[in-house]
Amino acid sequence: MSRSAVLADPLFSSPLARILITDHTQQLLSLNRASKKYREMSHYTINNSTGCLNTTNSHNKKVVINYTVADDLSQLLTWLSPLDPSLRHCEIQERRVNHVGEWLLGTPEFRRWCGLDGEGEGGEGVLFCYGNPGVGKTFVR
Amino acid sequence: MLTSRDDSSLVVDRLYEQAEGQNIAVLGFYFDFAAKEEQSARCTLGALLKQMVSGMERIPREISRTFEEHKKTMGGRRPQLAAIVKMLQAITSSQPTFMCIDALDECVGEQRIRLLNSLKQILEKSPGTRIFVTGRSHIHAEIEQRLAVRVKSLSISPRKGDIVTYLRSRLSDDETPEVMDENLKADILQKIPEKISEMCVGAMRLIIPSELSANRYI
Repeated sequence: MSRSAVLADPLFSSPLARILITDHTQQLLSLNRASKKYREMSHYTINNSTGCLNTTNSHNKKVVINYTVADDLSQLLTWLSPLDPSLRHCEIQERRVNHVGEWLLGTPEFRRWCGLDGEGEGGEGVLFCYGNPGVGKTFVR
Repeated sequence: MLTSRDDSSLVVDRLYEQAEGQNIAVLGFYFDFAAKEEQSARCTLGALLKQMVSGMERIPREISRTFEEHKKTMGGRRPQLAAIVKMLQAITSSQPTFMCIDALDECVGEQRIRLLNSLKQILEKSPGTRIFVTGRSHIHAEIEQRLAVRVKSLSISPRKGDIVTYLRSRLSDDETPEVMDENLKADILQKIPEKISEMCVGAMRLIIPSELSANRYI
């Protein structure tokens, strides 16, 4: 079903549809939240809408609404920024060697910054970690 | 820790674990000099906001309203930096937020200034927002000055233990194990950490093969 056909569907503009749309938006967002790792987030809406469209025959109306909601949410997200740092995070995460660098997470500076050692006070809100000049950046690619 | 990128991603993952089940947002952005054209202050902060909205139960009214307005009056044009900052201010003041910004020194010129000025505006509105930044040491003073807060700093040059762990991992992934023997392995694990404890792993990727060729082929 094309997008214009979806929008022309009378159900789409009915009050019931609005309720359903709200419900599905919440469901979609909750699922999104549940997926936690943000590498999955942007894919999720796309996969979700694709998956739903595949089942058009059995639950036609529901599918239409689901598709519209997913489409709107991803439209809004794309509108906010074309960039997707979650993909970069995923790449780096996969390349990372286990246990390397974990000492940083145990330093008093880090623990205080993230609130593990009592509440941070004024001036503790920003932590800057610096590496030596020339470290890695040109080699890593 | 061997590169700041690994470092930042480790921090993001740790914060994620810590935030689980709580109403806390964890956002991360990686600057890359090669992508400086696309990584403007506007798109960067937009991407942080995007992550925040993705993780929320419902789209905050401030954001859906701004989106609808833009759709109607500006043909869906992307929000300007000021609008993004306003949305971030609104959303961070209602939810504890951690932001991790990697390699800030790779965001250059006026874009970095714009970004820091925007972060200052966000901190003013939501002083509880915590920001983790990595980069080369020379930008420390600039961050402090632009954000107008005292910024704690920490050196993240790799520890010897990290280098050994990294080397072991690289050796076990070696695609040509036939040219490796126990003596050479022991040599690598002993000498490299001693000699280059100040260097990063990225550099070691080059050094391992050259050590091998020095020992085996030349």
